[in-house]
Amino acid sequence: MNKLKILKTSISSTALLSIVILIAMSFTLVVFPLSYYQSLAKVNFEDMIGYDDSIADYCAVNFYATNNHYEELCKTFDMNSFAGIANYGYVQSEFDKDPDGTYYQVSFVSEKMVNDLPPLDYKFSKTKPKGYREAYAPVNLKEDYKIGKIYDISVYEGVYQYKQKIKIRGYCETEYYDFVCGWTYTVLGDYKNNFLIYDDIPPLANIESGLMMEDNTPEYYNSLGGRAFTIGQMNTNYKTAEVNDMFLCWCICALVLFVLVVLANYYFAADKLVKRSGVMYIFGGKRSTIIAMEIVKLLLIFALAVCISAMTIGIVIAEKGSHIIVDWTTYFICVAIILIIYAASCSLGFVKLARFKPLKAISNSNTE
Amino acid sequence: MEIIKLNNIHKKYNEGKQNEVHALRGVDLVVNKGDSIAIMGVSGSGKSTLLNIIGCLDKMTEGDYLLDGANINLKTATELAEIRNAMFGFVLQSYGLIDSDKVISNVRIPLLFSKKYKPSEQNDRIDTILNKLKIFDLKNTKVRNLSGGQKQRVAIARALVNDPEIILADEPTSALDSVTANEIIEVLKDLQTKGKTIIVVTHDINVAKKLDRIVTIEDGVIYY
Repeated sequence: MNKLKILKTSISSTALLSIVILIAMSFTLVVFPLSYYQSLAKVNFEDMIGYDDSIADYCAVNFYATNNHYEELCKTFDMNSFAGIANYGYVQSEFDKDPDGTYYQVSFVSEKMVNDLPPLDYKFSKTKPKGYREAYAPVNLKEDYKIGKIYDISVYEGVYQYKQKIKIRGYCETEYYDFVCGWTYTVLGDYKNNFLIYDDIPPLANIESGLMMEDNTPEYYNSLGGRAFTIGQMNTNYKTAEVNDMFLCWCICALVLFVLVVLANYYFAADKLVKRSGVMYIFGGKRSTIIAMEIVKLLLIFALAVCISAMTIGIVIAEKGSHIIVDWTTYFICVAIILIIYAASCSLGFVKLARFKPLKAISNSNTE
Repeated sequence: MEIIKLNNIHKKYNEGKQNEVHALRGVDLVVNKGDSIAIMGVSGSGKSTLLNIIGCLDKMTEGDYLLDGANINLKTATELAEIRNAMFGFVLQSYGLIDSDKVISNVRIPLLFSKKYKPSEQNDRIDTILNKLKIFDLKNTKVRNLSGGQKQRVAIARALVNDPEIILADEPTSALDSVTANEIIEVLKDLQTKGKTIIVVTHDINVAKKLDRIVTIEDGVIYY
């Protein structure tokens, strides 16, 4: 009961100090996790999804040519080493059927990709069968294209026309290779609206990027007009590309501000606390109880700040949708960091308090 | 009836170090219940040290101290805290009040640790004491807004609120004008008539003369 009274007195007598620290800490516990997540927590310590050491030395090339037609690229690049997807036109008849107006594109899987890369979930026969080609159909067209059956498919008319019989081996439900080294670094891509056909790439098929499975350097492909990185370089860039210096700056600012607020307030309030503790000691308080209650008070402020900030962060996380700006793991890491910093920031003032000499405290601070 | 008995009390600060100070040198003192005593001495003579030891705020280096028959040397920190709360009312030098708090908050402090008054009785007790010292109207005033005399009355109210046996006052009139100082001494004398033991540390002979007995201390040695 006495301890509760001491605690209550301690809180009420340092209400302003407690409120300042509470506000500063609640603010930091919101800003710090947000900026921490944006600056550091998103750093990928794991490899890119789909990364494979066996292809680390090959180059992924973005073909920045004005004309990305396969026949044009063949004039500059050795497309026999090309492992990737070439896109052609949209399947008009299926487009008409689809009430959502989704376009289904015909795409070609290169020979190199089928023969020299792990097949993932796309098990094409390495030898093209006679009379038809193997294909994976868009996942939404399961009703129209049955596995094992052969369908006619065509794109465009006249000299541009591609017309083929395709045998459905499955549906594009999982990711397949998509080597991109532009703003993002990816090895796998989503093809759920594509017909992936293993066939000779038509001369007018469009190729934006792919893996060149030969022993050339990125500089070589750059000199030909592409933009290239080895898969190993892409993987390294992927791991570090998310560090955001601006948020890192905010992150540090939030911490420095917090330290200054707590340090300044608590250190300068310590004299007052020392005097109060001195008076309490003289009138029957036990040093250990007085100090313990001060610790409880500091922890209560921390707990309250955690509650306030957790509610705020909870709202942010609930509202985030697909755009993630913070997660609970990051939040609790930040809470732990803030607790350590809080303890360190309070320590100067607290040591002053803990070592109080009652009589000295009274005689030295008669004017408060 | 002896309430305080000091026998050959020594107090050394920084013992064994180069800057050792021997503040009390074999002090013997007996105080009976209901006495009023003035301890006089120049600055640095050891009078505040003696008061602190009597009030269980400081430990003696050597000697025996019997308080109401109990040996203080054998008490634990918790027991000493309880003794300070129950037995002593301290009137500190220059008031020792918390200026940013209200009068009532300052006066309430000893009751935080009291075993004499239940929480339900404490507000009434505070009101009684404030009325007795004629400062009830100042109950919710912040201490920083009070005059010196009012502050000293608040300090005395705080010392009395837990109904202690012994009032220890350290230079209670040093910051006051003579009229206010006389008023404060009268308050202390009045307490004596109600059976309280009063020990006042002062260097003012006029204050000391108003008490029953004067004890002089010089270089840590008491002269009667």
